[in-house]
Amino acid sequence: MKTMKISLLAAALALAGASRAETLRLQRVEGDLIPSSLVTAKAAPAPMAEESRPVYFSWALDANEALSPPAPFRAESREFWTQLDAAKAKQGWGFVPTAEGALVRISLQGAGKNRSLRASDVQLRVDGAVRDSASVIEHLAEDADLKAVGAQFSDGTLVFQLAPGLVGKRIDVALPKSAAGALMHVLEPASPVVMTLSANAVQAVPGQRITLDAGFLDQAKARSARKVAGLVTAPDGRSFDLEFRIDKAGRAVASFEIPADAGGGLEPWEIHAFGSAQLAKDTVLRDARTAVMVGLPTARFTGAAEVLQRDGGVVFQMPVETAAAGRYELRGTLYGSDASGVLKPMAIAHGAQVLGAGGGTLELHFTPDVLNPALGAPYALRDLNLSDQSRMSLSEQRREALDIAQLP
Amino acid sequence: MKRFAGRLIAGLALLAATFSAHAVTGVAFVHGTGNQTNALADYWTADMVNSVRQGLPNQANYTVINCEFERYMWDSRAAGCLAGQLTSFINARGITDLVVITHSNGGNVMRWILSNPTFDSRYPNIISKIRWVNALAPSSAGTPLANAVTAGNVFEQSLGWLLGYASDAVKMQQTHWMSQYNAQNLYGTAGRPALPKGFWSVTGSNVCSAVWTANSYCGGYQYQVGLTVTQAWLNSCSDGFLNCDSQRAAGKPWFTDTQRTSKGYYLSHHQSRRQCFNLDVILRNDL
Repeated sequence: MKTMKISLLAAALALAGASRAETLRLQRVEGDLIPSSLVTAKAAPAPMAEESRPVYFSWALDANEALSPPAPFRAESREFWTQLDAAKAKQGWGFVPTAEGALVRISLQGAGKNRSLRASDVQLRVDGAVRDSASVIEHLAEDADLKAVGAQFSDGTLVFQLAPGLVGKRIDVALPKSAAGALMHVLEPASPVVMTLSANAVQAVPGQRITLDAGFLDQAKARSARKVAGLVTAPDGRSFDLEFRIDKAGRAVASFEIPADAGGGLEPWEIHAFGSAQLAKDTVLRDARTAVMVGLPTARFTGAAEVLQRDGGVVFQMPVETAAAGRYELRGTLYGSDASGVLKPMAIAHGAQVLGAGGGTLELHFTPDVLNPALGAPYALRDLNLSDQSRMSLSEQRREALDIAQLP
Repeated sequence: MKRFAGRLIAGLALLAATFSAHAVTGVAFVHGTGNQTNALADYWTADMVNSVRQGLPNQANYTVINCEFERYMWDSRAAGCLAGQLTSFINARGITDLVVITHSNGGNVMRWILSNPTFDSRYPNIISKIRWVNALAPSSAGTPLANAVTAGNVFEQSLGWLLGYASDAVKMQQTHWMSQYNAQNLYGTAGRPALPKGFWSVTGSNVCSAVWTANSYCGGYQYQVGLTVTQAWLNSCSDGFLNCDSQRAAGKPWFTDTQRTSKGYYLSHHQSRRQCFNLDVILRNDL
């Protein structure tokens, strides 16, 4: 009798612990990041936590807070940079402010703690006439002032803001006593003239072609770019020229293929565009930067997925192929339907463990406390990401991974 | 009103936990960008920390973090160090209810831990102990000043002699880099999943540098001069280092300086980590 009771209890516990699994196939939609082949890569260079234990974590989400896919960063520039050789720095370099309050920052070549730029080193000319600095400069800060507040500008940097009343006048900035070159940075925070720059993707993979779009706006109205050039810079220091083509609408467009040997990591690839536009008789310069993250496809889903109940929660099991041993992470968001049948976010889960080369199975554990009883069938698993934590890189991303008629 | 509802619910949950399980409350101070070895003296000041911890039932239950926040947030010397010190504090003091107070980039490092709980097996235990994070002037969407200092890889490589010391943390806080991290690696910004614990931002909205006003001097007048110039890089609403929208980009807004500070004074980026305009009392009363 006692044996029978134990057997019944064991069976009941087994039933409570895990129920039947349902096998599903991962879906793909346009814009998903799905590697066609895998690459092997070294582990990330920065000192990383070398975690070896499996870790699972989930938390509830507010059903009323809608989630949306991230949009690429759109840079809006009201600034430009220019390099001056020693002769040019001595002679002076000019620009015409498009708005009040332009900031001018000068960094001197070879400057240091013992050779800082002072206000008295700078000569300012307005429409060709030398002016007393005090009448042209409103605020001024030296490197020590800037560093004290956490803005780590280089030794010897001088920043000043032009006084009101100088819009449309030619401002020449010269360093008459200097025998060195300089870098000048002009920012017009209140300018109506803006250069925009964006890429068509937040995340890319080696071999993917990304498109870049740049344009000028003057008081929010589109203006034709006169010339735009650019560079793509990889985290490893390599740089690649961009050739922008200006279309009939005056927008500048370029494309760039991420090299097949691109590395992963969490340092983005930078896109830097240098543009000019002609506004009335003046040329307006602008530099803008944006970024794209490049992930390494060191792992991918096989496409199969199982969903099962375990200890009152919901577990997803996803087999993956891996090109190299490492710690891999799965993350996904579980949705349920509200009373009107609209899918609403319910909970998010992450799961990570070490896998050998070849592959294994990763899991997401949605614990009972994160399941929202107000949401029911049908369910969905969205924003499914497969990442390589050893190489700090996103390997695969599926926005609408699973539709689930009923949870087990 | 709605912004207080979340804190109220969490507070009631805490109250229930206090009566049912004798919660042991602690507070951790997490500094911003920089490598700190004595953040108590060099970053927060003892006056600030000692005032805030008066709100604890046991005033010994506090810790001041010292880590290398010149590194990327995910670096073991940044988030790893923070996790190590928080874990030691939780274990040594038996903390079950942790309020974390971050300043500036410290909010990003904390958000890395909250957003990536499987990255390190210490993270889940820390997250489970956190009541909420009070993020003072967090650089959640980066700052144009980091862009200006770093000036991108292009200038950095060809003109390294000209540019400032752009640490990994400064590079990371460029606006276009933070946009990437917020899109893929961090939670809590608009359209992204919420963080597992509340992340309540305090926003500094202006800088006062007039020599004739006493509020310019709180925390040190010399800082206000630099902040007045750096503020020109920023929008009309800024604390001299961060735009208000960056400070409010992640989590939920707790308050903007003028709503709660004494006489409605502004909190510059420097003042939001100091005993200025009753900030210490506001934080103390929140424990």
